[in-house]
Amino acid sequence: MSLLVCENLSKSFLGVQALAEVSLAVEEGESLGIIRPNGSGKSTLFNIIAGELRADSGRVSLAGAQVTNRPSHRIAAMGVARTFQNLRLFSGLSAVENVMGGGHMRAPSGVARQLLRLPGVSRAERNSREEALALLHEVGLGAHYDRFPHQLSYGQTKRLELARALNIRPRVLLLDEPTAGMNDAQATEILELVRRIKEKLQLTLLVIEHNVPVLARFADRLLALDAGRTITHGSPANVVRDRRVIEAYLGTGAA
Amino acid sequence: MRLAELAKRAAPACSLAGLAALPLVLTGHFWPHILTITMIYAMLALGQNVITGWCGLLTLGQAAFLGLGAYCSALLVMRFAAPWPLAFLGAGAFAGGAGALLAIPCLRVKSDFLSLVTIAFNQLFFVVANNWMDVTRGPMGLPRVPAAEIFGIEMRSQDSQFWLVLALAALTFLGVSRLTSGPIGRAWSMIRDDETAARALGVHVTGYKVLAFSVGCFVCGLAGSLYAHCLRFVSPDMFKLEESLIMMQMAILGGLASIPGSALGAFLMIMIPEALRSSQPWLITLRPGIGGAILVALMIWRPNGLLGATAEAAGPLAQWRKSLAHLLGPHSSAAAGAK
Repeated sequence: MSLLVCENLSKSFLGVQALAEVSLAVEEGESLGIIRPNGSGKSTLFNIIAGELRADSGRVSLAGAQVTNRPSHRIAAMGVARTFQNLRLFSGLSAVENVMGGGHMRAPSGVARQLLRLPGVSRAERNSREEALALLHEVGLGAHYDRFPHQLSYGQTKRLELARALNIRPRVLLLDEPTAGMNDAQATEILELVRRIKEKLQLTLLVIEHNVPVLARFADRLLALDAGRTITHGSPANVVRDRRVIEAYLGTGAA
Repeated sequence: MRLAELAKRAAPACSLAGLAALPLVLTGHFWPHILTITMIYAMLALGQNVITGWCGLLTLGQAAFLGLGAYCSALLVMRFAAPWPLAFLGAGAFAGGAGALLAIPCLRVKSDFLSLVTIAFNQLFFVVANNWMDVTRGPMGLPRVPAAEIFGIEMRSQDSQFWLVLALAALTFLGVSRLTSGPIGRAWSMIRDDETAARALGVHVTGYKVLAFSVGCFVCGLAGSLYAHCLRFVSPDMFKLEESLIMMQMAILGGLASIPGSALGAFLMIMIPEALRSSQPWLITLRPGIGGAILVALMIWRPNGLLGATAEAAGPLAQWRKSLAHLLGPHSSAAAGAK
């Protein structure tokens, strides 16, 4: 059974159809790349899966359970983590605190327990810090744990956001343009990192990308959208050679 | 490095001990009274800071919760002969509960509008307190509020009031610092910095906002009880919008999301003008204006206050700060103009 299934998702904003009857299914442990030539509303799909936006119609299910239009924090609790296209780091928190934020759902949050500093509380906080440090180390930011997001380079903030998402210990990870603004070498490097982590943690991945050649080398399968509709899906080699995909990127007559 | 760490840890205990010894040096009525009032305002700044500094919610109606606490405590003792410690906690619980109740509908509106709704609540409280003669005696206020009494000891003298308020304020500061330094405070900061990201990490945003409101208002209610039983008088015009503005100004000036900043804010905004009241009366009169001017300057050079996170540590806090500047600038000058 597929881990994440979307059926006929549609969403429009003031008459602009961002998604039209989009369906997809991702198997456990698979990485699905989503390409879309003309930009608009790509993140809409992720926003709907993650519960940040309500779909006009269609269904989302996770491991067989209906999760359509559930609140975002519930979906996170079911093991769906995401990174954002335009980074959404916590600017007032240091790198390690940002990652600790990803462990929020495992932290003891009872007011009385915190007020009385019951024995488990300090230990839980120490553990949470150590886990966060280990994740920072994993993404290559071990030395920068006490920096604030604005003190990190663009590439480092991307890695920080990845570490934070990993700290919710997800089953499904949604990556929204993880290599945006990077050259091919950097993009390959970050996707290598993602691949390594994916193997280690047995993650299921959905990746939105503009950089088709890089994604084609990375993903198990590609799904191409155009104007909110699925135009084709299948193995990367077939999708990038598909006439409709080429036309969508380069215009009619290019193929 | 080791020494700096040690100094940081010892600082709260040392300052507490230093404060406790002050009445032995500064004898008489004047200084202990001013210090007492300053500590009560430090609690108010702290309550405001939980809501605004940590959770990022611009509430401008905290004087109403100070009033709820003050009236609740005074009435419990005067009408129902409740022991003062019970009235003290009751005042906190009442204000905290009211805060949570207000927060639930209020959180449906965003940033600037939240400020407007809380200002309206402040006005509403004033109107009710001013007109509900049977309970509050309206503008005549509640005179002869009994002094606080613990274990049969009546805290009548200025010195005893000072030590009582010091002990309770210290406990409150300890409690709030424990909440804010752990997962709860982190969740609040996450909401302040980016609600969408916080939600995506499993934070129940509305729940934590309501919690911030109730904790902030609880602290405010406790301060209200101390206020009533130290000043020995409660009347509606002690809880006007101007007081709410002072609380917001103290929190921002001292340092947003900073525990010592809350105390510093009260020291600068209350202690200094009060101490100079007789020699420099214009300081009190112009306080809202001066406070407003200082805030405008802070927005430019130190947007998170004197002890808050440094300016560059808060790049994208900018939008939130903008609405803050936008809101407080005009209001503060309006309050100064009305004087």
